[in-house]
Amino acid sequence: MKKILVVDDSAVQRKMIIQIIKKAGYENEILEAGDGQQAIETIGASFAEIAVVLCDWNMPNMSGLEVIQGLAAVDAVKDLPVVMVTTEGTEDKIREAREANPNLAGYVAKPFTPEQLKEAINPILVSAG
Amino acid sequence: MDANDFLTNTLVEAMEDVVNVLELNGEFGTEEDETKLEKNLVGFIGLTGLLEGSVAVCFNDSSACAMVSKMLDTEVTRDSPDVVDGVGEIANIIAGGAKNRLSQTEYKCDISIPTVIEGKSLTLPNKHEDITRIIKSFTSDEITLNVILNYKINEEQTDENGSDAAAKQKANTFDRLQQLVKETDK
Repeated sequence: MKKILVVDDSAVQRKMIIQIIKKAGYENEILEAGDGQQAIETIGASFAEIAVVLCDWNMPNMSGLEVIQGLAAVDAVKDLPVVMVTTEGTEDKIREAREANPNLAGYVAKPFTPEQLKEAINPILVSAG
Repeated sequence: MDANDFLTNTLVEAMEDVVNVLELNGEFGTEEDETKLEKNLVGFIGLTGLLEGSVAVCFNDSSACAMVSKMLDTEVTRDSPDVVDGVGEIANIIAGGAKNRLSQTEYKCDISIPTVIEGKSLTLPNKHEDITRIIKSFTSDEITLNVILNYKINEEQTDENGSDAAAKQKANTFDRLQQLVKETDK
């Protein structure tokens, strides 16, 4: 079973996301990254084992936008499903994210309910097996 | 509706988003005197752009613990690093929610990454003359959340000037924090 990578500079937000995933019954191993740079390192080392990346936008060192731009530019990871989970919820920002990574798999605006997060990741995890 | 009323409503709507998602039951109110607010933890976010200033999300220790316990659905004590982190995230979500609502208005702004200040009793000093202050509160049985918006409204700028202003604001955020927030009861 592939893994889920949760990227957010807030440890509390990562815990909230992980809790929702586990309570929903998903048994995937969960990886964590505290900023974009850590995310890139984790993805680079484990991309074949990752089913989906849940990625914040505003983070120190490297933003989530830079992460998805980077992923889109590298063939080996350009199809890796990414769901943005962020306070950046305007149409302009969603458009900016989709332009940065045309394969963006979903977008969840904070604050979100467990149901909203589950709706975003369930199709991805089902197809990942 | 004047700017102050519009921004007050926007702030309350952003607070309501958090309150509703966490399923908190309580009442919203307005505070006049910042010095009467009990503040041991302040999540601070800078605003730059047409709306310039800051959002300060203020808790006492017990309210912060109760809030983060609710977020994590598990009991959290004051010595946990999750309390400080959670206060920053609440500030981020409230300021972000307000920013999103303002994105298509004459108060469009960007927000900084949150900084959290801890102390036994924190206070914001008297504001500058050109700054307007709004204080909204939410109170439930366990949680008192006070959110302070300090703002001034700028004229529309060119992108270049706006970028310069944003960069300057970002560089000054921490210095401003040190100036604005002081510990009065060590």
